[in-house]
Amino acid sequence: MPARPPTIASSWRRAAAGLHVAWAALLWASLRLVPWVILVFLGLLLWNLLAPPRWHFSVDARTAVAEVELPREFETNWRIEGAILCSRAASLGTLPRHTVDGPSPCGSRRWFAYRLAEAADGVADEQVLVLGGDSGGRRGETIAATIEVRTDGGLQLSLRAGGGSAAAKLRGSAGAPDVAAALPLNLVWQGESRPRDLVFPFTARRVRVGRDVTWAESSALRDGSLTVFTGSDESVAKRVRVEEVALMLGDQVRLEKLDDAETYWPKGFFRFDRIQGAEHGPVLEAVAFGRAERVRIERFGDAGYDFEPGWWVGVQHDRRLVSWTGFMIGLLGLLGTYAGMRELAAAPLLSEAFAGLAAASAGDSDGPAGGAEPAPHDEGQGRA
Amino acid sequence: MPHCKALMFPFVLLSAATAAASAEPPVARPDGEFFEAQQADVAVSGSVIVGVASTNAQEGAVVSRLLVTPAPAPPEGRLCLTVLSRDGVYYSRNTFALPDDPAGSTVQFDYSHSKLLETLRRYRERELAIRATPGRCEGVTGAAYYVVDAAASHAPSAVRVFVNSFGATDVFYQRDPSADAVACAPITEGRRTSFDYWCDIPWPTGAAGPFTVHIQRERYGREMPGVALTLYPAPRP
Repeated sequence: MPARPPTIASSWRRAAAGLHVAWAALLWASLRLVPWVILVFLGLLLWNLLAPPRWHFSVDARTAVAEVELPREFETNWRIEGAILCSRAASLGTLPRHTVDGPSPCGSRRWFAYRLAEAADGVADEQVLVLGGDSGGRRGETIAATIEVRTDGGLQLSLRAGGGSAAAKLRGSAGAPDVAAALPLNLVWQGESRPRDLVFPFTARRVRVGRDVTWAESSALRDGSLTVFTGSDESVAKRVRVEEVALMLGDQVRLEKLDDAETYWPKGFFRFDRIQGAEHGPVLEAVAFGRAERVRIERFGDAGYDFEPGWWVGVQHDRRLVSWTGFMIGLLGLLGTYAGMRELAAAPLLSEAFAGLAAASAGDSDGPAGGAEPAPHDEGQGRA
Repeated sequence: MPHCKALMFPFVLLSAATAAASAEPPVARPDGEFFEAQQADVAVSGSVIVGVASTNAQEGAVVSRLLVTPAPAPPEGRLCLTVLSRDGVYYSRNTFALPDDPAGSTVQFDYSHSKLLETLRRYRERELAIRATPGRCEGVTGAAYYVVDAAASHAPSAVRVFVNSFGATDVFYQRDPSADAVACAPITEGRRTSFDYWCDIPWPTGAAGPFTVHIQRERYGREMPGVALTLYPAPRP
């Protein structure tokens, strides 16, 4: 007897049965998944608390003094037109001595003043100071640079070798050969010479903006802000501001190199505007970025404090943890909703409830002995 | 043989320290109530020279076992001991009375009155400046005794002087005007409220009496006022 082709009804029945099996399998898997999901959540939470995230810190400050330690394996280039170069060497290649009537702009007799090359029309030629860029043998050594606003409205820069000896190169654009100048070096931009706008970008091992407040010093950080960011794929700027703190007069902020899975060097720049506002006088603008767990702010009058987002902020901005928490809450919510719906489905129907009420009323009219029959409500529950 | 004497000097110091530790050296006790403070940013004194101690007496744990040989004898038999942390948080300054007849012998500072010894132990090398000067703390002096650690396992090789440069970009020391100035090292890490340079001054060969070291500072090449420091060496047997 040939098999009859399946009817539409039987196909629907088979499909429904298949779906029922799939649904049962999904429920079975979800129920067994719950403990593992919770376990992974706890693991991620523990990992977040034990290994706090690295934040992106950003310093934006106006200061009279700043220091930076430049790693010698990186080359740093700064334009230094208008500066008087002070060296302890009695001669520096072809650089002419800077001679003036009166005291030397370089200070004591240990220092010799040099004038940077000028073009024929008397306009300062482009002069570049090249620091670092040494071969690998100098890895780990640094050049310390301190930049400070002078009382005459100019700027001064000291360059010192952080260990051993080091030299800077002076590179002019006129085709002249580079001039090597051994550190220590000082560069002086006198106020009356109105230095051009100066920008000193850097990749550093350590950046220090501001200085300890003492009775003998007037150079200090004036104001600014320190901001913490975290990376975010959702944001257009690919980062989200987490917290910001205002910097006060006299504060000191340090950003340091972070050795993690990879090395993160603080980066930034100093800018000295030639035209200064009359209200505040000459000032150095410092902008620096770096990654770290925390940044220390040293403030006069207290021992300083670590600017570090709290654990809750860390949890909130851990994308893995947030995603997993969402998944866990969704799963538990779905299962809870399903369980609630099943319970509702098992509850007595309205008609059954009315029948039960009618039976109870009939029992009351028959007398107290007639109440022994089970109520439909109980049957319904038994079926479920 | 001056060379031989020079070699003997650290040995003498170490022997003195070891012998003192084992034979309970005379104790210099605080003359009055012991004073110390732990507060952020204490008012830093105007001293350029903040600390003078042997290179083996540098960490905070040594304050309870500091030895000094007060020769020549200080006025009124008193010594002033100043301990200042680099971050400016810990500060103590106390006049100590020497035993009645120290006879130029090595004495130990009684620092047991301190209630902040645990705090002091947290300070590591180049974080604490110790300075012992002759006379009461109210007096002014440009001299310092050589302070050593009674429990040091090695002889000190130099005197370490901590300098508060007050914004200098270069600090030097000079033994005498004819000698070259030697650069001191800047402290680049951590807080530098109390001092920011250190100079290791090798003990002079064949020194029999006090000698003077000149500390010079420059700020972007410009000279700042210099400071003279007279150091009293430990006596030879």
